[in-house]
This record gives sequence, structure tokens and C-alpha cells, in this order.
Amino acid sequence: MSAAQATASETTVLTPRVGTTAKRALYWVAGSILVVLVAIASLNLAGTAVEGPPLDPTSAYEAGTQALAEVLRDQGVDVLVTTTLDDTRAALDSSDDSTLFFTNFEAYLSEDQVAAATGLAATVVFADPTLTELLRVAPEVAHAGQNSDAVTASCSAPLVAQAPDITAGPSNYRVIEPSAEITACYGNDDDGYGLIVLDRGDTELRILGATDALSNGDITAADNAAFALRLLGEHETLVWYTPSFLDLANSGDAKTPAELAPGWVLPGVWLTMLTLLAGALWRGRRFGPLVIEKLPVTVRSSETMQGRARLYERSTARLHTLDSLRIGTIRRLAVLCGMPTTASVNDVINRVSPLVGQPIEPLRQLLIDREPASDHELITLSDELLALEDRVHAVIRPA
Amino acid sequence: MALSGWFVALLALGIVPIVLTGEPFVLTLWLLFVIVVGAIDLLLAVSVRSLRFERIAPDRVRLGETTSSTLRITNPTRRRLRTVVRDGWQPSAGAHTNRVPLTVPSRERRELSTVLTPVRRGTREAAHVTVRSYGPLRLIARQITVSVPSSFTVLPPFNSRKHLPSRLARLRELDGATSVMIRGQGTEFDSLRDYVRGDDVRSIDWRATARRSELVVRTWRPERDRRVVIVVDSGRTSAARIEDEPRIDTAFESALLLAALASSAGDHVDFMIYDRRVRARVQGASGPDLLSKMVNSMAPVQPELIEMDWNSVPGLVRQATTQRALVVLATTAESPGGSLGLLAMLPQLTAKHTVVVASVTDPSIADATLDRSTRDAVYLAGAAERALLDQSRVAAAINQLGASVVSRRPSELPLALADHYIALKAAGKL
Repeated sequence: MSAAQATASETTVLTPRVGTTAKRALYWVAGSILVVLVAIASLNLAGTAVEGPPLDPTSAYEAGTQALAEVLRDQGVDVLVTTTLDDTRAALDSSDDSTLFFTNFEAYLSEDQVAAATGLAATVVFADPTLTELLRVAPEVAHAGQNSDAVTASCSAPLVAQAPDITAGPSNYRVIEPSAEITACYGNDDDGYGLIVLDRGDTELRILGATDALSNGDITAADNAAFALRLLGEHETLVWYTPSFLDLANSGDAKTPAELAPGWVLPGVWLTMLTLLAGALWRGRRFGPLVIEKLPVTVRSSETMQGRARLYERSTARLHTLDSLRIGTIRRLAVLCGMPTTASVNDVINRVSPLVGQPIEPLRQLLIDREPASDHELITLSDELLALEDRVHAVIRPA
Repeated sequence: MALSGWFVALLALGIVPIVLTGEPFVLTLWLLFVIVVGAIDLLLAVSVRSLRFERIAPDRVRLGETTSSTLRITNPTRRRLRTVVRDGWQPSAGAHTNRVPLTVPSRERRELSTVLTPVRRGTREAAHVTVRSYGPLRLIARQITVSVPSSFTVLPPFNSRKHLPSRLARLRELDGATSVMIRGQGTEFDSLRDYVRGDDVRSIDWRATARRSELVVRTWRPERDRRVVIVVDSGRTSAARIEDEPRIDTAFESALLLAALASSAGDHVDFMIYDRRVRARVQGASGPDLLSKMVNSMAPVQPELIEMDWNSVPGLVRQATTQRALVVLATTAESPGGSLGLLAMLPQLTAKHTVVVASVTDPSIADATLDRSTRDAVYLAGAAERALLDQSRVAAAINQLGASVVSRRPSELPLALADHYIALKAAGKL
């Protein structure tokens, strides 16, 4: 039945040449590069950073303090900006008459470093110290939470004489052990103070909570400018120390996981990733296109019947269902008893009754009259119909 | 281009020098090494575009049988071709192996045989051949897909031919060749022969006996040269699957068995497949030619999702024969609504012809009537009883119109139709 036949078929190569593929891909590659370039350009134009670091004397953003630093320079103060503790030490060593301003809210400095910094100059302004830093450098003073209202001087130090009202916040400090060496200004005992000055003999430590007053955004408000200039412009030199991560490296011997791991781990991870990529390319490369085949329609023949059953069930057509079952039973009984399928129900009942030894009335009830009131009754009646068929079958055709 | 598992393994092997030296730059060196080796391997692989392909496909095969197609690959280059070949046959062509490794030496040709066991009737096609040509190290391959179209026809299986010998024997029993005598109004006088014991005494020809000294009986033979017209409905109801066989396939089986039987009984068979147009027609063929023409015409026909146009059927039958004929309509007679067209048309046919409606019934309906285990099952049983009632009503209507109905489950229908034909023949009703 299977005669072989050589097909002189036309062979055409379907796979495009590398050049053709490259030409086709060129449009998309160029398009994606363009999209990436536009994205980068628009990001740069819009700018990603909305805020610079706070209290940075080189930052012109709202939170920075470039305005203050420039005005101080104009006033003849030598403003030096440092980023490490060593540089700060060196800057302070070169001049006796100097102020040190520093803050540690990035937590680059350890407590030891903070303690060392507070003793470096004649006047040290420590902005925004934390609870633990205070315990170390000024145990008499405690943190008193946040405050952002405008505050008045409330003390008689010469430092604040020209600036009765300044912008407060973000922090306030409280004096726990009052003494003659401690002056607290800008605030009250309940809320705390924006500035606390501690006289430590050769060093005057100024704990500053109201740093907002120095920022570019607020320096022109109230008496902030006068306050800031008096606070930082007292001496010839101002060393503005902004701790950086360079302080971290000197701070201890803690090592990153990358330093602890052996040298082969990183290239090993890279190689594993490349291997996985190659494996994906190996398994994912398709061995030629799929062969298309038209499938024939599949129609299940019993769909109508099942649809009708669901319809009966949803509308609880019990009597209708039972009548269908009864008609089937009666037809089969008629055939069993040798009667035509067109025989009437009464004839079938009369014929079946002596066969199964059952009076006519209950048979009539079962085959015609009874109406199922519930699904349970329907099931019972349908079982009785089957049982009747079985009995008649057993009588007429004994196994 | 395609990577191989060896390439991935070689890349992964780089972990050894990296761990041993612990130097990050070894990674770069290893990557360079792998890329260079891979590139050399790729360059040494035979260019797939220079290969030549030729496919020798089988012409036709019966469904269920196994055949094979041959693919010839010629390597005209100077290098040895190491390759994996995929012969792209349709899934239902039933290719046993899909990816075959093959080596073709320089300037030689090799044959690749694909064993096919088709799973579906109709035309099975092969679209293309995909080849991966590896270099000597088997790291990277050049891949190409070449369109090499070819196709073969899968014929209906005609499984019921196993019943043919027994039914042919029944036919011969009808014939006067055996001692069994059949008397009926439709049988034709054949010849006279000597009486043997067991012959029906009513068939003794007394006039001939008087002329000779021995008893002579008349023999009869069934009528010959009758017309049988088989119309297969390829409308939407024929698409339904019963016992994992579409109705139309069962109709084909029945038609083939009936045609084989009728043509050996000396009748003329006309065959057509129709829904709203004639999908296939076989006329005026006899003997082995008839069956071969029939299976060829059936092979590509699939049911269409349209309603059967019964009004044209009497005209088609008239085209086939003007004599009285046995008209077999292989269709579905299940619901009164769906059979309206058939019932309206039947009187035109039954006025002149003997009509048999062959219909496949779904045994799952009868099974469903007996399952009363759950609430859902009882409702389903009710619906099934209703379906059975519908079937018997349609059958009764068809009988009233003067036609007869043969409805059986798919495995039994061909045989039942053949038996019906033999019974008609014996009764001389053709």
C-alpha cells in the first residue's frame, strides 16, 4: 500500500544569512540605543538629586550652608572645609585662634572620634549630637526631642544678644545637671533649648540643635543670620568639618565580606552566571521552526445530552426527569414482555403485575402517579424503577 | 549558530584555574580562551548552505500502518560533516525519531530514514529540514533550516475488511452455487441441475424431470447488476467523536465494507461524499479499482461545520442512476430537530428506491441511563432517556416514510450495514 515516490521538491533555504539578520536587527538596536540615550539625557536634565547633604558649606541647595560660609569669608573669616579628622587636626594646628564646626548625623565617626573632635579647638560647635554621643561628650545635657517653632533667646549670653529670635529645630536639648558652666538659650525648660554652651576651661563646647537657622533656606529669616555669624565668626579661622567615609577606614579593623572572601569567589560567581547564560542559550536554541498542522474540529457527541441534564438540574425539573426515566423503563418492560414498543402503560402494568407478584396499584403509583417532592424522592423513585426492571428481567430471562 | 552542551561544560571548567590561582584576571583569560576555541570550531564546521537535500516520501499509506521516508543529504565540501538532522514532518505524521546524528564524509551522500506511523487520515506534509553542523570539537554548530516540501496521503484504515471473508461466504451461500436454495420473489432463475438429498422439494422442476429419468431441480441465484448508491454526510454532525472515532470515519468504514461486498456480489456501486457541495464522488468503478478509488477520494475529506443540504440529495442520486437502487445514507438520525431536512427529503427517494439510513449511536447514552448513583447522575439519566426516546422517534418516522434505519455503535455499524445488505439481497428487495 505504500509505494515510494521520489519528490523532485524545490529546496529553498529558509534561514536568513547573518548579514540579513543584522540588517533587520539594526533598526531595533538603533531604536533601543536612541531610547536609552533619550532616557539618560532627560534624567540628567530633570536632575535626580532634589536635596544636597544638609549643613554642607559647599552646597547651594536649600539644606546646604554655602550662603553662610561665603558671608563669613566676606567678613574676613578664613573658612576651611575638611572631610577627615586628620585634616581637621592639621588645619586647627596651623592656627591658634579658630572655631571648629562639625556634625555627625551620617554616623561616620565613632564615639571616640567625636570625643577627640570636641577638644580640638577653643570654640567647638557640635551640631545635632545624638543621645549616645551626648552621654560621652556632655553627660550633663540630654536630647529633648524635635522642635520646629520659632524661639526667642531666653538667655543673656553675649553670643545671642544681637539675635533675639531664630528659627528652631530640628533638635532640642535639655540640661539635666544645671551648673554655672552651662548656659542654655533659645527655648525653655519644658521643650528644651536650641543652643547649650558648656564652658570647659580652655574649650567652649556649643551644642547646637537649631541647625535649620544656618541653612541656605532659612538664613535670611528672623535673626538667623546674626545668630549664625556670631556663632561661627568669633575667631579668625573656621574649620568646617564634614566627616566622610574616609574616617571610617581609619576607625577600626572591621572588614567587608568582599575583603574576607577568597580572591576566586567574585570571578567564580561571574563564571557561574556566564555558564548559566550559555546553558540557557544551549537549551533554548530552537531546532528549526514548528511545522504547522491544521487540526480537525472536535465535537463531543454527548454535549446536547449533558446540556439538557444541566438544564433539568438547574430548573429542578424533577417530574420531567422522572417521566423520561419512566418512559424508558416502560419501553424496556414492553420489549421484555414481548409487547410492541407502542404498547400503552396500562397494558404494560397489567402484564408486569402478575410477573413480579405485585398488585397493580403500587405499580401504577410508581410508573405514573407519584410526583417527587424532593431530589431525594427522585433518586428513590429512579432506583425503584431500576429494581422493577431487574425483577422483570430475572423472571423472564433467568440467568 | 547554536551552542552545544560541550561548550557550556568547557565554560564551566574555567572554575578550576580560577580557584587554583585565586586571581580575578584568570576569568578574562579563560573567557578569551573559550571564545577563541569556539570561534575556531565554528570556522572549521562545514558550511550548511552548501549542503544539498532530497527527500523521498511514500506515496500513500493506510492509517495505522508504518512507512518510512528517506532524506538524502549530500556533502559537496572538502570537510567531514558532523551533524544532527531534524526531519520536519507534521506531528500527526508520527515520526518516531526527530533528531538524528549523522556523519557525512567529504563529497559523499548519506540517506536518513524516518519511520512514520501516521495518526490521522488525510494529507500529511513535511515542511523543512533543519541541520546543525558541528565543528571537530562539537562546541558550536552552524544551523540552517531548508524548505524541502513533500507529502503523502494517509488512507482510511478499512479495519472492517477483516469481516469481509465471512460476509462473502454468506453471499456465496445465497448464490445457487451451493446446495442451499433460496426462493424469493426477487431471485432470478439460474439453471437446472440434478436433485441431491436435502434440496427443497418445492424447487423440483417436474417438466424437466419428465424429460429425463432423474429428478431435476431449478437453482436460483440472487439478483445481479443492481445499483447501490452510498451517500456520506460530511456536515457538522459528522464531526462528532464517538468512542474516539469521528462519525465520518465510521461512515467511511461502513461504506468501504458495503462497497466491497456489493461489488463482489456483482452490483454497481456509486459513492459520494456531500454536505453542500460534492466533496468526493466515485462512479462507474468496479472490482479492486473501486475500493482503491474510494479510499483515495475519502482520504482528504474532513467534516465541515455546515448544515447538510438534503434537498440536493435526490438530484445527486438521479445523476448516479435512473434505475431502482439501494440508497444508503450514512448520516446522523438522532434528534427530531436535526433530522427535519432528512425526513422532508426521504419520500422523494423512497418513492423509487430502497433507502437505508445508517447512523452511529453513542453507547455512552445507554450507559448513562443506568447510572443512578448521585443526584447529578439521575438528572443525566433522565436526559439520556430523553435522547434515546428522540432517537427512536426519528427511527420510527424514517420507517414510516418507507426507509429503514441501521443504527449501531461505531465498532458494530459496518457489520450491521453489511448484514442488512445481505438480508435485503436474500429477500430480493434490491
